[in-house]
Amino acid sequence: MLTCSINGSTKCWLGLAAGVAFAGGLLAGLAPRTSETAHVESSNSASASRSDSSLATTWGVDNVHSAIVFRVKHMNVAWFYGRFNEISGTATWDQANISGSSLNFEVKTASIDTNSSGRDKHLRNTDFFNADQFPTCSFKSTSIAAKGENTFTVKGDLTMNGTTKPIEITLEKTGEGAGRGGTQLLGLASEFTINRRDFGVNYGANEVLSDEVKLMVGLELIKQ
Amino acid sequence: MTPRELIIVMLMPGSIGLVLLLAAWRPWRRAGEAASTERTWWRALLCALALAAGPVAADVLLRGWHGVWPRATIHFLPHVTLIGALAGVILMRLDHRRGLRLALVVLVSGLAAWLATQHRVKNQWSSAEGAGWIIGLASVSAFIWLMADGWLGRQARPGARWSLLVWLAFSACSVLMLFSGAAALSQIAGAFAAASGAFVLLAWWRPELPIVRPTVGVVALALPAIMTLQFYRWPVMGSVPEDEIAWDRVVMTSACMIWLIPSLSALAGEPGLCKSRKPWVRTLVAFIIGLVLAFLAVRGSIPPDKYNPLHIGAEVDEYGY
Repeated sequence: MLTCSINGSTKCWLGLAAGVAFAGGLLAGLAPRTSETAHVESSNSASASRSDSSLATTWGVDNVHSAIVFRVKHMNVAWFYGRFNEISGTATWDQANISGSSLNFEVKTASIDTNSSGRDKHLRNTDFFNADQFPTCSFKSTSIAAKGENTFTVKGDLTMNGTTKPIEITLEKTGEGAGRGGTQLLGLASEFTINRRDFGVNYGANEVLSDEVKLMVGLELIKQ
Repeated sequence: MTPRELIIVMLMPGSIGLVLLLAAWRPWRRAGEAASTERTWWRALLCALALAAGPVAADVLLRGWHGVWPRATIHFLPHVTLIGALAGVILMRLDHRRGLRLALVVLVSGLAAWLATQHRVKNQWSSAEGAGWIIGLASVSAFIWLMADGWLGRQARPGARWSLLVWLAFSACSVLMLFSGAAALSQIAGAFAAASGAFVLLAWWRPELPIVRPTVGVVALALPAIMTLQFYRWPVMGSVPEDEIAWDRVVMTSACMIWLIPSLSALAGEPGLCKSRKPWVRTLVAFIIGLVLAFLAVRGSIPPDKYNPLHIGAEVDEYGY
């Protein structure tokens, strides 16, 4: 580039082209080779000037800063809250081409935590999550569409107790930015309600333990 | 338990059992008339269903119907129960064909053991472990079945002792399941106990009626299956291995004790166990031994830190529980 500024000749343009090509190649090499990234690279050269999130990159769940909390009504009187402590999964996120994004999360059912070891054992048992036979619950998106500036309608398959049902949720992008040590972070959140009986969790009457269970999901994802 | 659950678990299975038994035998009629039609297949089938139908209905009402081939192994309990009912009736028709009887019992017991353990066979065990467990569990079922069926076939008045011990075994199983963290299985075992109650009533009223032999298949398959569905902790009593802390499971020794209870019907006739020739003394001895076994089984499976919602303010361990 120094040569370019001195001579201002054809060599300058050749050098610039080589530099761009090298930088592009480097980016392409670093980014995961998904169909989404290929699409972004080929369709829009201006994408290089956008923020990182506009490239379909893969993000992994930071389990320590993520939470899945559930709420169920006990005896038709009080809301009771519990959580799952082991969450994993990835997201391929491209806000500029959101339909090409995807979410794939998994929760270890044995990691359920309701602040009572005896009750947790019961919940892991065949009456509820049957964690011995079905050690994970999972969500896999099938389509994502923009709803607002940072809200999205996500359709996907929720699998629990070995039963898979399609659900639709509203997902909010709660933030994006730099973390400690130069990591890139992405925040996603959603609240939605399911009927536990749809997934074969039939223990207890609705009056004892409500059929409807609200799930509150807050995920922090780290750019891979 | 809600009133609805009480009706489903207690009242319904007991009522279904009693109605089917009364329909099959019409016990208010003369004894000779009833005895002459002992081998009518539909009477045997109604007797088997008197024990099986109520718990199956309770299972479906409590846990839902999950199709002919459910995803979760726990939902195969109705299948196992109905297979036991049908096979028990067929076995009665094969009284003089020992080879066929043995083949049927081994085949059905093996099938039930596989149904109750299939997810572990597929996901958690090696082929050798899976084969070992299936053979072991099938052997337990086959032992209970052949021993009880043979003994009941030789007795003139076999109903009362067997019914009482089956009721005790399912009741103990229900308590055991409750303490090992499987409330739904506890309710289903309770439903079996309620249905057994109908047999106890009729057997004491009309002890000459052959009402219990067709039910042996149900007992031999359903009792081990309930405990197999609630996972095993390898034979330890008292101490809980570190990797088992996340679970409450039936202790193997407890399961074996419960399995043994119905077989006391036959064992009570052994001179080593009871020298008296009086049936009621033998029944009493068998029942007392059964009670002791039931107590030991339940006591051996109580985990050290049971969840008790009334235990608020109790001392907590280092994890805050």
